[in-house]
Amino acid sequence: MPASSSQNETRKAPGADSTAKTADVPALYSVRDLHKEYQMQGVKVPVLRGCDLEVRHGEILSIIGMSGVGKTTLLNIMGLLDNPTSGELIYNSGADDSLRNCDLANLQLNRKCSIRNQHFGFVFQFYHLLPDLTVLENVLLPSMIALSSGEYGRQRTKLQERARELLDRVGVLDRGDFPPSRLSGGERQRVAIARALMNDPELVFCDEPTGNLDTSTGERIHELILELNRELGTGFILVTHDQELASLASRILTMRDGCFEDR
Amino acid sequence: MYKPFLSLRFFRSRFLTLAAFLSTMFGVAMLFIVQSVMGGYMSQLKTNIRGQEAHLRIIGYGPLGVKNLLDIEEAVKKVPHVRETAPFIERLAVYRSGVSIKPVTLVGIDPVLQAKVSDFSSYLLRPGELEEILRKHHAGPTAVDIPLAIDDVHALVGDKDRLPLSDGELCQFFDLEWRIEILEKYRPLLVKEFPVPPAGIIVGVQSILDRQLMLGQILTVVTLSPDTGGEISERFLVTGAINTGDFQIDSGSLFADVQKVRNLLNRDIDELDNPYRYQGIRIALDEDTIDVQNVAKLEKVRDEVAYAIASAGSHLSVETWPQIRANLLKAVSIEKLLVYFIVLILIIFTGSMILLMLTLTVIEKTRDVGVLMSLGATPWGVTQIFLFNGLLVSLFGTGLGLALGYAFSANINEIHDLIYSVSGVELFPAKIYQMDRIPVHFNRLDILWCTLPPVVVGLLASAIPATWAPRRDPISSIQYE
Repeated sequence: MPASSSQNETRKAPGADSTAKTADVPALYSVRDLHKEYQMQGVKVPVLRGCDLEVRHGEILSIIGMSGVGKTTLLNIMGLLDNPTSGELIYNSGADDSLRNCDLANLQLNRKCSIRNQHFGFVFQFYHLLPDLTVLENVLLPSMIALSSGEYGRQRTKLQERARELLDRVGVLDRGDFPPSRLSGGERQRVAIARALMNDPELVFCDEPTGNLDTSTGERIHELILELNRELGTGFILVTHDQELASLASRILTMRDGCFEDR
Repeated sequence: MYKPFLSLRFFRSRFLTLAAFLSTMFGVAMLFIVQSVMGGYMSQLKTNIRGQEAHLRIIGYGPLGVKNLLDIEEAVKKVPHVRETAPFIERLAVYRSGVSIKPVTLVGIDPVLQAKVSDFSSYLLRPGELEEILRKHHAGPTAVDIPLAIDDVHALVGDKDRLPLSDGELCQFFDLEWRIEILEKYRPLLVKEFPVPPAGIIVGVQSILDRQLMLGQILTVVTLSPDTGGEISERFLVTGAINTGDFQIDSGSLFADVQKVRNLLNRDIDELDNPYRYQGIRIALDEDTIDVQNVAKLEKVRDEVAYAIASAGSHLSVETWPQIRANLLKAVSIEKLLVYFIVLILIIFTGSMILLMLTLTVIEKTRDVGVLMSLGATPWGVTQIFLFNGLLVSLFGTGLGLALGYAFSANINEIHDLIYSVSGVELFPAKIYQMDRIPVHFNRLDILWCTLPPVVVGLLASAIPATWAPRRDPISSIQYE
C-alpha cells in the first residue's frame, strides 16, 4: 500500500487553495495548465481552460460544479481515457519507480493502458459491469487484463481469493456467482468498487458514483468509500453533484467554466 | 488472458453467432461433398480407363494399320520397363438379334494376353456367378432389380479377395466345349441347327441385366470391311459377361477372340492373307520398376517405344493411357474446378454472415469495450477479442462442416439407395454417368482447399469489425446510459 499522509486530514471548504500541499510529501498527481478543446463542425469548443490541480497520496478529493463545466472531461484526461490539448499530467507513483515525476500525457498508448490497469481504478455512475460475466469474474477482469494466460493460470487461486476478499469487504460475497442483472443498483456499484480496487490502485476515479442510486443506498456507498480510503490508503477523486458525498472529501474543489474557481 | 475468455463469452451469447456458425458448417460440408464426389468421379474414371486400357497403346493408321505385329512386338519388348504386349482390334459394328438391331463396338482380344496388360480378368464374371446374381434379383418374368444387381456385380468384381480368372478360365469363354455346353443349356432347340456353335462372344453385363442380351443368345454382328467397305457379318454366341464399371463398355461392347475378328475383317482382302495385321497393340509396363502414375515417366517410355517402332521400319502412333481419353479427363478436371468455384460463392456468403454477426456484436458491446479500455485493455487487445470470435466461428464451423461432409460422402450411395427406394427416383443414373455407383474419393489436397478458404474468409470478414471496435469512441459510451 502506498504511504498516505492525507488520511484523517481536516476537510477543507469548497474554494480553498487548490494547489496547497504538504511541503514534505510530494503530490501523487499534479495537473498543470490543462487545456482541452473539441472540434465541432469546424468550430473549436474549449472545455478545460488551464486547470491546475494536485492530488495527494491517499486523499479523497471532490470536484463539484454545474453540468457541462468539464468535470468528467477532466476525470477522463486524468484517467488517461482522453488526451489533453495541452498541459501536463505529472504522476509521482509511490509503487513504481518508473513513474516518478512522469508526464503521463506524452506516454505511448500501450503504456497509458498499463498505467490505467495497474495504478488507476474507475467507478462510473452506471456501474458498467459486463453482463456476460459473473460478479466474481467482473471483479477479476483487471487482473485478467494485466496478466498473460499462463501467468493468470498460475496465480488464479490467489487472485480469486483476493477478489472474494474484496467482494466480502464491500458486502456482496454471496452474489459472487450471480450475473450482474440479478443485483440491485447498490450491489452493482459495490461490485464496481471492488473491481476498481482489484489491482490495488493508488487512485480511484469516481464519476457520479451515487448518481443512479437512491438516497439511503447512496449513503451506504459514501460510507464504503470512506472506509476503504481509511483501510487501504487508496486515493479517491469524486466527481459529483451530491453535496453530502462531496463533503466527505478532505478537499472540495469547485469547477466553473473549465477551470477551478480559485485559480 | 481476457481476450480468449471474453471472446468465448461473447461467442455463446448471440443467436446470430449460431447462424453464422451453421452457415459456415453447411457451406464447408457442401464444398467437401462436391469435391469428394468430383474427385471420386475423376479417380474412378482414371481407374476405369487404366483398367480397360494398358499403360501404353500403339495404334496403326487406318483400320488394321499394324501390319507386322511380330517385328513390332520384338522391338517394343526391348524397351526398358516393357513387361507385356497384347494385340487388339476394335471395330464399329451392329448386331442383329431377331428384329432388334443395336450399334456396338466389336473388340477383338486375346483374353490371356489382355489379362496381362490390363484388369480384364478381374472384370469377367465366372460361369455361374452371373446366373447366381440373376437368380437372386429376378423380380418377375422379365424384370431385374437392376441397381441391386449392379451392386452385387460391382461388389463381386471389386472384391479384393476374389481371385482373378486363370488363363484356362479366360480361354474357356471361346472354347468349343463351353460353347456347346451353353447352347445345350440355354438354347437346346438350336443344337441341331448349330452342331458347331458360333464363336463365343463376351458381352457387357449391363446388356444382360437390361435383358437386351442373354447367355446362349446367337447374334449376327455386321460391320464394314476395312479394305472394300462392303458389309461383312458373322454369327456369335453369347458365352460370358464382363463388368468394367464403364457403362458405355458394359452396355455397348462385344469381346471376341482376336483371331476370329481379324479373320472376319481380313475376309475381303485380295492380297495374300497377312496373319500379322492388327489394329493396335496394348503395352503393359513393369510397375515394380516404374511409377506408372507419373505422367512424365510414362511419356518418356512412350517416346522410347515410338523410337523403337520407327527403328523397326514402322510409323505408328503411341499413346499413354491419360492421352487416350485426354479430352474427357480434361473436361472432368475443368468441371471439378468450376464446381468448386461456384460452391465457393457460398463460402463468401458465410463470410458475410460472420461480418454481420461481428458488426452487430461490436455495436452491442461498445459499452463493454469502453469498460475494458477503462480497465486498461489496449485497442489491439480489444481487436483480438473480436478477431478470435470470428476465428472461433470459422474454425468450429469448418471443423464440423468437414465432419458432416465426410459423413455424408462416405454414405452417399446408401442415401441414394434410400431416396431411390422411397421415391423411385434415380439421382445418379448409370446410363448418364457411365458409372454404376456414385464414386467418392477423399484427398488431402481437397481437404485443404475446403478448409482454407472458409478460415481465411472468416478471418478477413472478422478483421473489419474487429479493427473498428476500439475506434467507435467506446469511452463516450460509458459516460451515458
